[in-house]
Amino acid sequence: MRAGESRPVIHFDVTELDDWYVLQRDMQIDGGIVPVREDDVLRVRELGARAVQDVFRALDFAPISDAEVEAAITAFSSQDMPDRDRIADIESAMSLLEGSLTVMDVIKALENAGYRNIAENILEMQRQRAIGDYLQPSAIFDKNFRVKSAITDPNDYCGPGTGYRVEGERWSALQYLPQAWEPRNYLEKIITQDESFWFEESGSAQIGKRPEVIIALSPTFGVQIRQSLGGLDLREVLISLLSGIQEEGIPSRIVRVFHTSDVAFIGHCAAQLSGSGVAIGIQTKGTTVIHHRDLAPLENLELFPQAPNMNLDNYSQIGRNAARYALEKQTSPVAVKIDNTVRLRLIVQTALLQRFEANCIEPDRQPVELKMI
Amino acid sequence: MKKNTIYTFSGRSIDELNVRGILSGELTSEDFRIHGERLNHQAKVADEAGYTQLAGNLRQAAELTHMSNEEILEIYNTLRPRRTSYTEMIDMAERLENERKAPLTASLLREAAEVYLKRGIVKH
Repeated sequence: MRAGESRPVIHFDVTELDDWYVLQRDMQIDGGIVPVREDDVLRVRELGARAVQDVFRALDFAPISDAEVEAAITAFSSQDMPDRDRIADIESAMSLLEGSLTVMDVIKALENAGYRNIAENILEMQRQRAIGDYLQPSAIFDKNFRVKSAITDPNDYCGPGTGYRVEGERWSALQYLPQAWEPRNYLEKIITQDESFWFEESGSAQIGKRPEVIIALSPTFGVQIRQSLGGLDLREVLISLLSGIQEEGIPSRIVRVFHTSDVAFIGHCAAQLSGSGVAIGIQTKGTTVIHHRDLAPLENLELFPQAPNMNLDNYSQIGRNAARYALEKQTSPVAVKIDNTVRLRLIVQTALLQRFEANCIEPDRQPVELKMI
Repeated sequence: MKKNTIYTFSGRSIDELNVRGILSGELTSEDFRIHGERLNHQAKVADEAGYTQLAGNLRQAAELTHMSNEEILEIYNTLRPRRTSYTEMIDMAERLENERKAPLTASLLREAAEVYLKRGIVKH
């Protein structure tokens, strides 16, 4: 995969649970799971794997090897597990189905092998079957095996601010993300240490007379920060825009805007300078707009607001479309990947990046023309 | 029988169900089966909370506690489309009502017989 490309979100499975933690925390919603630490997970997995191994041994099923237990502790999927003799496993399963073994034997095996807690939990599940409280609607067991159901814990929601509230210990637990990092470190990480410039200023930007596309860069684009929010190299982004324009056979100019960090105003400003009236505005974070001289600043020809979902191909297509607008030819839609979790996931980084850019504004400085070197 | 103790199908109280009893062999899986009266109690709780259909199911389940797994499976298989004829289903309902003291299950069989006949999914 190229830098900046991420896996398309086409399903929801355990690999998305990290994002689920973030949604719970940032929206103060109990989404049903609590963040866990890796060492706790490993400990529980090992306990479970060894218990299964010992039960298999006690019930004389096809044995589970130590290698299987080891693999199970860190396995992501069944592909990470060693192969077993499936015929032998089927025989064990048949003996369980047709023979006289019951859950009593499992409880005995666990107790005898020293798994007192697990044995008692399984016993308690059996007792609860005879009690039957769990048969009521929406029933769950809490960690003390008390039944919470529509009967014992009814839904008393009756308008905003009522009903179940995420608060107290549960709320603290939901906020304690093992993967959380200090936001201030983000900027430190992405502000470049590279002193070299890849632009040369060539005077203040003039109004053009011929058909062309201007690409207008935000104040910090490619200077203090050299990658987009999605991790794309900004030099490659710019080259992609330029190549798209070039494909349509009209010239382009690059201009830097200093007096604003707003992508719409950047694009609008450049559109006033463009011979064709068409300009591309782009922020350091990668947000892009195709603008036209005759439009109001907050209108646009096309807007690409989800920077993390963009790839370099998208930027070429944007360049191409801009050129086509300049030539008054038809354009085709730019197929940007759809991932609606991106805004919530990256809202902190987006805010930090954009604030940094806004702090670099020079309100009285006029746009200058740039050459790539 | 103490009023507030829960008893299982075999007559044991819930409090007797412990690991010691399992290890000694005194308790078997039969001792963990739910008693019909307990299901009827759950039905009453469901009714009082307005869950009428669930209450009906729980009462019918209470009838099934007297039957073996094989018997229950037989009824279940009878209710599969095109497994039995209309008359066989009615006969089974009669037996359930008169011999097995299961009037709710019998009425389910009768309703099924009528519907299956109308839908053309009885065995000929």
